[in-house]
Amino acid sequence: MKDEKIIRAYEKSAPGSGTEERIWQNIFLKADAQAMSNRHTNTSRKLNTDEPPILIQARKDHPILRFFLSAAACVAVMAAVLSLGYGAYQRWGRLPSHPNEASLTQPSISSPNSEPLTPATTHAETENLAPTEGKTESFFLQRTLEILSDAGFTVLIPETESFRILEKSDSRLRDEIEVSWKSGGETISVFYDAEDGVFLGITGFDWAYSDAVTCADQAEADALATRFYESLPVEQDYKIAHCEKYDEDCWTYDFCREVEPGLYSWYECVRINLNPQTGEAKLVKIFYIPLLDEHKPEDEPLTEAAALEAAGFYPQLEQNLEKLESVTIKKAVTVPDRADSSNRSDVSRICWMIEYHKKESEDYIAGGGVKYVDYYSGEVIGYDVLK
Amino acid sequence: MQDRQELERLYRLHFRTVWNICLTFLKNPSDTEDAVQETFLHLLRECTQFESEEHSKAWLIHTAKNVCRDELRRHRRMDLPLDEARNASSKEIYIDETLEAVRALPEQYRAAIYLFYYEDLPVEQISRLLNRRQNTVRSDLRRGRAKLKKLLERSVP
Repeated sequence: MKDEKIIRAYEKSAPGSGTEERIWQNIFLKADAQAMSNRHTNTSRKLNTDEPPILIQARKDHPILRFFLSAAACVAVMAAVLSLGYGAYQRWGRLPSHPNEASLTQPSISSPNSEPLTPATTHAETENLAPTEGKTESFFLQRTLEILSDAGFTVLIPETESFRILEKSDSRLRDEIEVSWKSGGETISVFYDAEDGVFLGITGFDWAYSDAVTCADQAEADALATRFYESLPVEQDYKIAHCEKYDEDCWTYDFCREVEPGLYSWYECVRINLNPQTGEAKLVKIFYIPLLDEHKPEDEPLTEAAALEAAGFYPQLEQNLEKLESVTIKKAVTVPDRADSSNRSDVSRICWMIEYHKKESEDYIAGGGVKYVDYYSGEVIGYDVLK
Repeated sequence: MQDRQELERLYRLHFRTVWNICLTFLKNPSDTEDAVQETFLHLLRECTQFESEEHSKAWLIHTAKNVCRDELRRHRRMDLPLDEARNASSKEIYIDETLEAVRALPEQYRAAIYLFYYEDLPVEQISRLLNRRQNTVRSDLRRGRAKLKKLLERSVP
């Protein structure tokens, strides 16, 4: 039974042809990459199992030609096998052809030959940390094992792990290094700051203690989230600032720095997704853009009225009062120009956050917005668009 | 695996349906785009032979729903600090009050409401697509409708 109101709602949210095309291009690129990968796999398989068409024809036509072609095919297969075997031996064996290749040896917690463990670092300890330049894949694998081990979990990372650099984007606060591997159908990923190597989070990993039980109430869930938090190599003076309950089985805890009583920074934050029904944590994510508070003691903070005026709201309110449904102001922590990854500041600041909603929501782009005004200088340091 | 021409044909044919399903479940436009992409990549990897357009559509709806659920479970708002996640919700897509209300429904009601009131599918088919009993789907629709009504009453001044 169709409902006009619902149909209209979905029609209005239809993406433009540009979006449709962009998604198709992405699929197309991945499809091509996948096709190439499959071609490679199929070719390898044919070498081992399938008889080439020319050989089938030769068998029918000429026994001597068949003999020579068969012999040539056998030699080719043996050469390929030997070459693959030698390659694997070079990569994973005990005789690296280059000294640096030794670092590619698969790390393991129990391996007596493992390199000495580097202590896990938190952002608080990074000031004198060397940049990641020169740090190898095996360094990050080792760090991963160590972090999980310190948290009470022993894992084996298979040889098929992947290692890549993810570039800073509108939704990624910095360049990150991702180490990922498959385990039980899930992809586990561990993230590090690409610049200083600091641990930034884990996804896909089932963090469950052996004594995990269903949390009877909020207090037990809080305690369990805190236990996970305290096991991580992260800042340890954060407090639970927020717990969002998406479902009975997915609660998101944000442990944040309390800048002053009641004022938390979402940019110095450790997020943990908890399943209170099983006692598992599913995700750990660290946000870190430190607060820069360089005001002098004699600096007076802006009043709310001055902040509204600095953001241009007084004239707007007087002239267009009937167009605004509400304007609210509160103290917050933000990152200047945070919506623009190329200009985003690497420090956060205390600000006045002014949120306004328009009465008429026919504006398809914005039904309101947020302005951020520096708490001391009065400079407008950021904008956001609200639906 | 589907060949490229067939994949493109199915993409053009069912893009809007898959988009709507993903939009119903995911709040963030970029997550929606990712989920649409992932759904069609599943199609690329699978060897499913479809008997009809209805069959391919049903397969895509089912897959899109599963992709979204996986996405929700694994990565809920993980990429953005909380205040950004709140504000990021509809920068590029216009969401009216009705759709906002559908998206605010508990997960189990959303797909049923969409499939029944937009796609015009019978309860029997929705039951197969969502892998829920017909009576459960009827109850989801009843409860979803009641909740939707409340949400809409609250959102309209």
